Amino acid sequence: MSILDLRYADWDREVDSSNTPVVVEFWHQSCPLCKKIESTVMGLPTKLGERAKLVRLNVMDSRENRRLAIDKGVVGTPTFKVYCRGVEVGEIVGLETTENLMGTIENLLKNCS
Amino acid sequence: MYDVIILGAGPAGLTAALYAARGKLKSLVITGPMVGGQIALTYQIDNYPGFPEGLTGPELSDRFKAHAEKFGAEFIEAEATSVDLASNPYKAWVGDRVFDTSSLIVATGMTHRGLGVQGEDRLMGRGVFVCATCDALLYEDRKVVVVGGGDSALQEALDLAKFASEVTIVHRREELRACRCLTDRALIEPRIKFLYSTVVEEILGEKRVQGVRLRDLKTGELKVVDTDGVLLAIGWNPNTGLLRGEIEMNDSGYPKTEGVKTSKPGVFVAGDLIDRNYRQVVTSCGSGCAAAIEAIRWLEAQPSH
Repeated sequence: MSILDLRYADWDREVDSSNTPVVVEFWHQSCPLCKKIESTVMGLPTKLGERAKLVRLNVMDSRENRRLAIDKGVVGTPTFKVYCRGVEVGEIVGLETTENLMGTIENLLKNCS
Repeated sequence: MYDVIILGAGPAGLTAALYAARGKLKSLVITGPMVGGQIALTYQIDNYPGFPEGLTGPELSDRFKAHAEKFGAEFIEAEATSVDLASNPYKAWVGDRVFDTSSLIVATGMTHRGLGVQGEDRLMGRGVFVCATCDALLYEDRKVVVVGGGDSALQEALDLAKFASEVTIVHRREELRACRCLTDRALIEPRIKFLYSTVVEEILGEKRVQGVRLRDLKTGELKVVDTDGVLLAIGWNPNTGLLRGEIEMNDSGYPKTEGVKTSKPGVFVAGDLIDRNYRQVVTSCGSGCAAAIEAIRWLEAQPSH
């Protein structure tokens, strides 16, 4: 399953206006911990199923993407934020095991109902 | 039963694995938290011989690992939880799994030293960070405090100054310890400020770093400085907790060694743990190679071998 590579201009449509909860990974290609957690990230869409969608925002891709991440309060990579109808309900910062990452996301998604 | 277990998978551990496996030793690497070690957190490596175009740290560590695997080295990507060197065969545990080995190479390297102040652990990754290469760009137009006065502190401050609105170097001594090549550049960088004879006493903030409480060591004066980030560059601690009580160590936690040999027969050390001088990828590879050669010689000299 492919993961949408979000651009600055897509945020409103894909996150703020989404009826489905959204998990956003803020990452970049020079971030070693992002590389380390990549296989976990690639497995997330299957684990999330219909409950939430996963998108990625590369903070190095453009200045607009970077500014967006900064505006959203991101200070380290990787950061995962969970949004319900555009409202952030929590975040996970740094390297985590698949179990911990999924467990925390599951808990945060409970805030969406 | 292994001929050699290698703890750590930085340049030293991976080179030791390559040499040991190529030397026909049944070799197991217990990688520790990250294959590549510190180079996994280094974006660009421009001084590893044979790669004039440079390459990334993760690329180089992938190559090191593939090279060791080619000769048959086995890997467990996990941290060793304890070792028992009381008698041979030596034992290493990963959780409840135990592995026996005739010899051991310790290449566990170093971990960033922390300040040990309030707020540090709670705000790690939330404004407290150790790797400017990874996150400097997220501090665009923000303020950052860099703690330290050595080469890495100055290099990180210069990297941050490309993005941050203001970088304040907080250093406990009266003078910087970094090389002239870096201090000369930092002193003329208008975005970098210096606070000497000053220590961080507390990192402030709820969910994000918002400030630091500083103490002037000369006057004793306390003050709060607003900041969005705190980058720690105050040096390194050796990762030798596993070996406490098993081999002789000095007061700073470094193994006592003669070359790559420790106080325990068949136990060798490589990488940053025996190099407080150079700490380059290539010197770590060199001591990893030496440790593997010594392990091979030691095993050949054992009557049972």
